[in-house]
Amino acid sequence: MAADQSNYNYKVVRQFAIMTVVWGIVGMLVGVVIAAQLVWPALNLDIPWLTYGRLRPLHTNAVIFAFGGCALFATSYYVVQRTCHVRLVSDGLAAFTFWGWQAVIVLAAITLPLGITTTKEYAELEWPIDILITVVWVVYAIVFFGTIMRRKIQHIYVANWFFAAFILAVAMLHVVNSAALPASFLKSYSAYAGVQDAMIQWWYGHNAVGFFLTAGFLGIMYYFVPKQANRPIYSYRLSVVHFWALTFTYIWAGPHHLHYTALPDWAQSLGMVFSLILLAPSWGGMINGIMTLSGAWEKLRTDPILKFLIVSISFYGMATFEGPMMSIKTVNSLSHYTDWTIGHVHAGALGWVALISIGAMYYLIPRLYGQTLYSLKLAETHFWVACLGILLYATSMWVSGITQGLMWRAVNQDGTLTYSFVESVQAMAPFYVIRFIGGALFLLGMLLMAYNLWKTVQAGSAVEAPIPKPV
Amino acid sequence: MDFTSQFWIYLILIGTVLSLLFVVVLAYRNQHTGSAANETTGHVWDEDLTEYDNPLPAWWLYLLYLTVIFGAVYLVLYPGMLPNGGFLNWTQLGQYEAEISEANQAYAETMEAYGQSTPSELAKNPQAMKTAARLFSQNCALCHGSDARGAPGIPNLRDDDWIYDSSPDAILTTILDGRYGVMPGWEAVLGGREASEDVANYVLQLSGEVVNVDSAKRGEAKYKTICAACHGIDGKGNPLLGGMNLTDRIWVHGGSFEQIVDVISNGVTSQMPAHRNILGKTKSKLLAGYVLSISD
Repeated sequence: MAADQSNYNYKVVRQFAIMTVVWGIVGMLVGVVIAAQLVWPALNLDIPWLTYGRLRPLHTNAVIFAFGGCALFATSYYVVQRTCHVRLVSDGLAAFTFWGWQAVIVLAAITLPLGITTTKEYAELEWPIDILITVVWVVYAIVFFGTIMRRKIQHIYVANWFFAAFILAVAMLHVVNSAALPASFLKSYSAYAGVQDAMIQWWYGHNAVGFFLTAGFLGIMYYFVPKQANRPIYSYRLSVVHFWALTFTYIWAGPHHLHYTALPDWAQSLGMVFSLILLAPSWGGMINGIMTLSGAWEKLRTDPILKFLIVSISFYGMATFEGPMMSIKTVNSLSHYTDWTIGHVHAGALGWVALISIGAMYYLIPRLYGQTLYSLKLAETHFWVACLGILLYATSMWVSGITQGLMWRAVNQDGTLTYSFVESVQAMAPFYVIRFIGGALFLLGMLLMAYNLWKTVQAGSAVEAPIPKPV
Repeated sequence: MDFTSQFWIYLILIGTVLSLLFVVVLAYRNQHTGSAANETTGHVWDEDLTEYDNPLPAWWLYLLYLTVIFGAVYLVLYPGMLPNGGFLNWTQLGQYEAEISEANQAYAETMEAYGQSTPSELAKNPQAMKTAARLFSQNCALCHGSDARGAPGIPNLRDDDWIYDSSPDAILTTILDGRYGVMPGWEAVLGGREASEDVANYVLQLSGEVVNVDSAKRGEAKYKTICAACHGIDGKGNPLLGGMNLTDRIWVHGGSFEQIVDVISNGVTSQMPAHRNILGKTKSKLLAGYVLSISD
């Protein structure tokens, strides 16, 4: 296949960018549906495929791997080409990653509602799909690193370090955690037993947050923030130190998901300590992102895209402060198993991951179609609707989570527990309504974005971007 | 695959120490470098992407050092880096046991008084019944319901029908040691589905229901040779075996013709778990008193 080596491969970027919006809407819609089911349980309509237990993994897989995954593919392919001044190493392999990844998503959307699951959180897909994921991921690595190796600029841009760490770590995590013994075509059993399985699972689970949802999206930040602000990155030195500190500490933090369990005490201590040490490395990224804007703060007033990017970094800072705090054993004994965790995750997922992806899509799609954004005003509305949604979501879950934690541990004068479990469930009802409204607002924002970008795409046409001549 | 050998512990220990050292050395080596001046590093990507090289913010650097120092100290004081736990000798099991013994001490006086009473006495003590009601909602309501009226397969505790005798001692035994009820499936022995239906008709007749008399007649003969062993020749059950009373129109496993046929054909097992090790004797007594106090 003799691709035109004087142009960037924008086709695969366009495909992934559009599917980012599509899967974002699908994944968040499922989230809103299950949030509603928690308030009105009859909404599962007594149909097994629509029950909470089957739709919840569909929601998490759709937003993390379909929405987040497509955003990462789109941006990493775009960034690696434009910062290496070279076309993707193979159009065929890049196209394979697109269709392969869409196949994984469709298979997930079919098998999870059918109840076909390994039951491992964020790794529910059964072994044949796991193998497909592995193949797609290896090809992704070949395309990405192959392109880096062909680069025309000697220094590798910082965004690419983060994308590289994300690709390598996720490959390792996925293969180790998904190791299983197939019992039939659609059923397998984990290669690990008991608490060891739990430890491997949360080593995977926490690093899925660390490398998929953090390192990958920091890659997005390091390109789109300086581009949109038209300012240099604040500190090269800081990016070096916080990159290595982040990769070397995140990997040990998983055991904080297993405080006060059968996991040995020393492993729990390790998880807590590394989670605390993670605070500064995480904030290194926040400093670099926000300080890049210093000297250009006034742009925030008029530029909704920059608003998305900068507010996402603020949420990143908040969530990476909250996380280490929650990993402290005494705090964790209150917060664990409550809605506080749900609030924490969504402050990160909606506030950081979704907002920065949205900002990147508003930047990317007009450029991919050679057309300015249809309506800045609509994007501005989207921004405020999304922020209001996150605010309602996170605050309701904080209040609900702390209420739950306190109710569960309340003890009477005679030593009996003050509340039965069902009373704590009843107390959650108003917060579940607020959470549902928050999620619905966020989804509404996504629909505004889809309309805005659709009008933009309609007015434009696919761009062939030339690669700059070597200087 | 197992990770129980010491090898893994040392691997992770070495990894931990090296990771911490690496992070600190990296930060330290970059501590006094960089330039505050508005000069970029000279690298340019994608036409206009550049980088300043500002020094690491001091507060950030000290935050990093502080957390690393805290971490190192914590891993020595608490289980972490030392082979036999930390210097403070803290374990989560120790913490649990300390909290439990503290609680036991705090509530010892009240509980001791309850421990010396019988379930029947406790049932008349309003203060004790408040405690018992909370224990019930925590431990029993999940199966027997918040109102104690039971659920399909789970007995109603508010009526005066007792599968295992109505004495306070029998109720206490049920709570302490649990019960395991087995009704075997009889279809093969009886000679097929139709025979089960005959017996079901007879059983319904015992409860005074209007049934197909011919079928019930055939069922009666089978009942008297097979079922009467546990349920009694008159169908009034046998509390010693947990054979249920079939004449009182109370059907724990469902009272429709189809449900009764199904139980006769396929049998049913039910379990009340033992609570001796979960609640102990005093709390079990409180609950026995509570059950007595709410039944008619």
